[in-house]
Parts: sequence; C-alpha cells; structure tokens
Amino acid sequence: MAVSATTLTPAKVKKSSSLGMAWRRFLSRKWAVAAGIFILLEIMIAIFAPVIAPYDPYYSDYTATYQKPNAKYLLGTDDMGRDVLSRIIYGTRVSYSVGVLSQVCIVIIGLPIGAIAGLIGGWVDYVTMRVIDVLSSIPGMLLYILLMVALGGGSGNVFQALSNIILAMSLTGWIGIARLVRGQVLSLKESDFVRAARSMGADNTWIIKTHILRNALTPVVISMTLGVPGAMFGEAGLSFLGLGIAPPTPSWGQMIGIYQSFARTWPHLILYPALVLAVTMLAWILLGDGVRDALDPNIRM
Amino acid sequence: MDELLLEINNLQTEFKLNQGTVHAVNGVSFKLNKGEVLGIVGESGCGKSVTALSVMRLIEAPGRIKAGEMLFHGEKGVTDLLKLSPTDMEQVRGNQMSMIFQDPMTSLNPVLTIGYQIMEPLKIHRKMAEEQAQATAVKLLERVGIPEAALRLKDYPHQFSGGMRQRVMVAMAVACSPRLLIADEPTTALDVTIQAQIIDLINELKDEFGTAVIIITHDLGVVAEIANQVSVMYAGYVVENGPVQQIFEAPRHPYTKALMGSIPRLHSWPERLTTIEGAPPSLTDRIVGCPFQPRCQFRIERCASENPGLMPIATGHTCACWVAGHE
Repeated sequence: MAVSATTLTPAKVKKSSSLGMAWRRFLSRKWAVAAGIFILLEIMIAIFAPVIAPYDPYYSDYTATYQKPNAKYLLGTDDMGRDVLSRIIYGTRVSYSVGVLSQVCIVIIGLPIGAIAGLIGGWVDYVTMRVIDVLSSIPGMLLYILLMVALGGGSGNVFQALSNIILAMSLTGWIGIARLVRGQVLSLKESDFVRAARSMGADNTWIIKTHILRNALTPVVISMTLGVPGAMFGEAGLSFLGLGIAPPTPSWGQMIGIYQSFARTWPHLILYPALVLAVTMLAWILLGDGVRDALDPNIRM
Repeated sequence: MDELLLEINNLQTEFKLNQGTVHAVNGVSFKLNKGEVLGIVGESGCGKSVTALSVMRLIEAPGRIKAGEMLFHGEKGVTDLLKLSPTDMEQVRGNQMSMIFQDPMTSLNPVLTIGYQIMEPLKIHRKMAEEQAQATAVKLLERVGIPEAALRLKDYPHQFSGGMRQRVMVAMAVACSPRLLIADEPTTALDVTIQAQIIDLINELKDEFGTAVIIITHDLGVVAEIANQVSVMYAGYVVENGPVQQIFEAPRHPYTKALMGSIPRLHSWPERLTTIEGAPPSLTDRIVGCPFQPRCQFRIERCASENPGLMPIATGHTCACWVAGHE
C-alpha cells in the first residue's frame, strides 16, 4: 500500500531480488524501521550489558535503598539498594533469550508437525488436529505454570531456569505454528500453481520443496516475529508469579512482581521495568507488522 | 497425414462425495490426430474440464477414473495412459503432453521468479543445466512475445499482467515440445483483445511444434477459429462429434442446434436470443435414457428409456440422438 517512489522505478525493480524488494517495502514503513532500530539497540544492550550498566546489578547498597531517580542512580534503587537501571539492562538478556529462542524451538517443533499433518492428511491429520484441539483448550498460562512446576521452576542456576521456561513455552507454543503451517499446506496443495506444476510433470518431492514449503515459510517468519513479544510477556508473567527466573538474576517480569508489593509507597520502582517491557513488546509488534507487509508478495498485486 | 495421436474410449470419471456420487464423465470417447485441434464445448458443469484433467491423470481424491482406455501414440509406441504408474505418468506430463489452465493469475507461484518456473519443466524432463535452461527460457519467452525476455526472467508473476502471465503459461506448456497440448478455457479469464492474441499464439505454436491441441471452452467463436474437430458435451456425455464445419453449418443433435441458436450473429438481430428451457440434470442421479431428453423439443418415447449413444450419421460425424440418427 505505502509504496515508495523508488519501488516504482521499473529499472530498479528489474534488477531486484525478492528479498531486495521485501527490504525496500520494509524500509518504506517508518514505524517498523524505528521499531527495528530500537530492537537492535536492545540486543546490543543485552550483549554489552556489563559495559553499559553503570553498576553491578547484584550489588546491594544498604545505605541507599528505595531511592527516587537521581543523578547517581538514574532510575533509582530498589528495596535492597540495587541500581534499577542496571537490573533492567541485565533483564534484557533474559527477555531476549526467552523471546527469540522460544520462537526458534516452537518453529522446530511446530513446522514439521503441521507440514506432515497437511501433506499426509487422512487420519494423521485428524489425530494431530485433535491433539492440538485438546492442548489449545487448556489456557496457555495455566499450562506454563503446570509445566514450570513439573520441570522444577526457575530455581537452580539461570541456564536451568531459562531452558525450563523455553521448554514450557515450546511445548505449548508449537500448536499455533503447526496449525498455521497445516492450513497453509492444505490450501497450497489445492492451489492452481501446484496443479500447473503437476501438469508439467513435477513429482511430489519437487512440489513440496519448491512450491509448498517455500510459500508456507513466509507466514512462519511473520508468526515468529509476532510471537517474540508473546514469549517475552509469558516469561514476564512466570517471573512475576515467582515461577520464572529466580532472584537475584534480574528479569523484567520478576522485577515487576517484586516491586509491585511496594507500588503504593514507591511507585517509581514498578514504573520503569513495566515501561521497558511495554515499549519492547510494542516495538516487536510493529516490527512484526512491518515484516508481514514486506514479505507478503500479494500486497502489490 | 491422418496419424492417430490420442484415442479415448469410454472414459468414466466420478467423484465420491458424502452427498452421493457425482458422475462427471460418463463414457466419453474421441479420437485426435497428430497436429489437429479438437474443441470440446458445452455449458458449465458438463464435464469438459474433468475430461481434460482425466486425460492428464490429474484427478485427485475424492475423484477417480472409473473405467476407460486412453491410448496415447507416443515416441515409444502406443501406451494406455491409465495403465501407467504415477512415476511413469510424471514422465509423460509436461514432456509428451502439457496443459494450460484457465486462470493465469493463480497458476503461477507468486514467490518464484518467472524464469525459475519456465525452467522447471526443462530441468525436470530435459535435465538441462542452469545456463542452458536459462537460454532456452529466454528463447521461449521471446517466442511467446514477452519483450526484453532476458531481463524479465528475474521478475515475479505480480509484475506481469494477466495476458502476459498466460503467455508465460503457454511458454511453459510448450517448453518440451509436447505432442499434445490441453488448453482448459485458456482465454476465459482474459479480456477480448488479449483472448484473440492468446488463441493466435496457440495456433502458431501448434504448427511450429507439430502439437495436437485439445481446447476446452464454452466460447464457440474460439472453437470456430481454431478447431478442426468439435465434441459437444452435455451432462458428462459426448452428444455430438464431428468436423468443425459440419457442426457449425449443419448441427444434428438438438442440443448442438440449441447451442448454435443461442449465439448472437453479426448480421441478424433477433428480438431475443434462443434459450434452452430447463436446467441440466443433476450429475448425482443415474441418468436413464438420453440426458438431454427432458429439455428436448424433438423427443420421442424411446428417448426416456434408452440412451442412444453416439451413432455415425455422416463421414467422421457422430451424434447421440434417436431422432437425428433416423432423419
């Protein structure tokens, strides 16, 4: 829809690859680009947290607890005198690892299941879909909580906790991707171009490889991008409930969970992590929208 | 000269649905010579497209080809296409025979380049390497009238108009110089000026590659322009079969007559065009007698109980009618 002038110049269009065209379409969406830059920035912050953070996020200064934002502690200090800004910066690491890795795991599980169900059809499809129906009838958060309790929660070391969270999310989250891929495969199987390819003598392997999976991939990428904020929010929810990342390792959700008990007296404590979480989620959603518009080849038909 | 290419005998295709079995094609038979053009005409739902898909063996569940014989005179002698294994059939499709579909807007994969899709049959059947396939694709695109063909190989279908996409489809279909080209309403989705161009293109390519063509359409004008032979279908049956001139000038079957009567003519202006009263029969019911009999104004008693079947009435002209057969 918003097509920039450059994409309309025929000479340029001719030389472009599909990714190049998608990239230009993406660049023409200002909010998506801004969100992308913001996310890149946060990723840099997560990687270089020790360099960027002004203080050690684990260091408690008991002489300076509950400080309001000031020149020394930019976002104030918490109940144990730890620097809130530094804790938020380190919390980025948790949110991004959970957000991105859980989506990768979800696709690894969901894509083949959905593709097999759609391609084989018949009873394989029927059984898969009934399993998915049963799983999706259980509220997602409830399932996370049960799985986290079963897996031993967030106690122990950080990596154990992170992998538990990612596992819990993947075990429930693959449903969406599987359903999406199955639907795509089913409709692509019946599409005119697959029939046309068959009439050219293409065999099943060729059709699945070049016509079905390639077309089904675009919505998967879009769904991955849009799934990241959901996973981040899931982690925040678990940590808020005390089932996610255990203190002292900082995570945004866990900070919100702990600080909400002081919200009446020191509301600034809960404000910053909540704000960062909200803005990050918004950025991912905007990026996801941009990616969707950029990758959907039908948009300029 | 009249070398036989394809002989279809008693082809029957049905679709088993929950609501009952749809008898889409009920014993269709026809012959096609090398280099000739057969037009299959009939109204929507008469089994034209299902016949074409059956010949390509592209009928998918819940449909199946129940009976029949499809003798194809290929390079390696006569083969019954219905007896080929799916893998052997893949060797035939796109190579010995290929198909053009109705809607060029959806028949090309939107995420692959035009070049990639034209090279598809070349790579599958001719086992061409990338460079050779590319050069052939450029030649094909130039042949079907795409300007700047070399540049356009890297374009995507959405950068092409409907007429150009149909040209690409034609290029893909003739890529391996097939002996038989089936065009299933190739012009229905295009506007009139483009229709004529595509028909001309098919006509030229047919002579160039020595390809026989089965053209399926409800546009009698297209048939008059391109076909040598015409098969008129009704409710899954062939009701009349003959050389194009005879069908147009002296149609014998009441249905064909009615069809011809409903074409607007250039030089006469009747008050109203003729219409055929009634509706075609439901294909889920077993048809007893002549399928057209309930709508036919010439029917006799025998029509209701006995299906006439095709009977010869002139050289190369057959007609399934008790009345016309005994005129």
